Amino acid sequence: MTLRVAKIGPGATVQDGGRRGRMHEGVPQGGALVPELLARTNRAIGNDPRAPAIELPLHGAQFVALEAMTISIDGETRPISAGEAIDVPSSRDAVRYVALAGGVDVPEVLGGRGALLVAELGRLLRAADELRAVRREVVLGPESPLTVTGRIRVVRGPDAIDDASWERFVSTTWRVSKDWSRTGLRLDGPALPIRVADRRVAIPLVFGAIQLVASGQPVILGPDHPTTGGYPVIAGVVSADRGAAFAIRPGGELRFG
Amino acid sequence: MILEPLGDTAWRIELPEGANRPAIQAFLRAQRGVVDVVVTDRHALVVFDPAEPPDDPRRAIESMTGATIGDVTEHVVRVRYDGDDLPDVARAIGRSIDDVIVLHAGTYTVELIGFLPGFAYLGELPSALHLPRRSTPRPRVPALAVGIAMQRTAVYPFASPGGWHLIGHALDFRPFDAIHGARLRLGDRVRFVPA
Repeated sequence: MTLRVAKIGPGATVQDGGRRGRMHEGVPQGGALVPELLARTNRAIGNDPRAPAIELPLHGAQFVALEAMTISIDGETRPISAGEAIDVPSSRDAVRYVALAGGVDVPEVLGGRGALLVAELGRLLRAADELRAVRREVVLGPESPLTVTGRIRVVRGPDAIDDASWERFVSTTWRVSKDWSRTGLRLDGPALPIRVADRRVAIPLVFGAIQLVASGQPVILGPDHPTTGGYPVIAGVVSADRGAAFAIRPGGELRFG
Repeated sequence: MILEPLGDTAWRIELPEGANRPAIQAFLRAQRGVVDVVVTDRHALVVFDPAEPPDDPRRAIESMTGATIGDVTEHVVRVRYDGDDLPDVARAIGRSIDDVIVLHAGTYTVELIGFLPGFAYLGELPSALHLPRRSTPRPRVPALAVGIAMQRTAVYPFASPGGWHLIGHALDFRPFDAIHGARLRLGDRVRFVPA
């Protein structure tokens, strides 16, 4: 089963459940921006929830099926005949996934099959790419539903933030800015007072950590975050809500709680 | 030792002065329930699955102090000292370009890995070479460039933006590749040899 890319937006890659155990080498876990949606897309077609699928951030794509097959678009399955064109327009949410039965056949590199562009692992998808499906053993884990409510739960700290600034942080309705990528998304809103960070001290980072950058804007780190950084980390998004944060398109609103 | 949550999947532990960071990293990585570990100058980050958190490791790591014991890997890296900032560095420290090369060549320890996959912060530079970062970072530093900033030096594993002073480039050495991952590990030694 092969799907040919006819047209695809910038930033599209193959992503899976991410890499584990290499952060000490500077390799972030990577993987899907919205893990719950990847899982739903895969499950609908009988795949392992972490199986590699096509990730379409902010833009849609068009494909042509070279053989008859069944695909899953965000969990909606669709039988497709040979030669049929498939249009996947961008959606209300920031990210869409297209899964092939069995998973997209890309090589495992350093414990993962997803592209990690900062490490030159894998690459952006482009027109004329042909994505083959492979049949893999399916291990179904527990279901983790995605609820995009615009309210993102956080744990305060570990770096210090004064009570007034914290109050402002959690009471503000933030707008997701255009500065949005797999590395992180920046929020527009009132600038929070930032303590001058000691730039010589590198701080360890993780997917969902919220850095307060020099402009006083919060940045929620994405799956391809650097593993260390120089700005204070004022909060961490709980794992169940990271996907929900990255499912919001630039221009959309979110609140912390 | 202070342990603070970072979200619900990580703890950030503040390390005491003199902590044996390579030993702590190795210990933490071997613990049941630990998915990932990042050890920086002052912290150890322990990443886990919130459904199965590991045991609090503080008691076990507090006695891990002093220098690394056991085998230390030494990497010999040939450097061609032809970086764009070499003349500026020489001028800034009031020495000749040859002096900069002699000062920089030598053996360093991997003190930190971060910023980019395989980016190893090596220390400590001779104090004569300590300079603040460039006031304007370059939008693109080429892969394999050898840079210096403050007390540290590094080989850029990939082309990236960067604010370090570029003094040369590494020959026959790739800090990161898809087969091995990062070639340099916390605590490893790197000997720079002028090519």
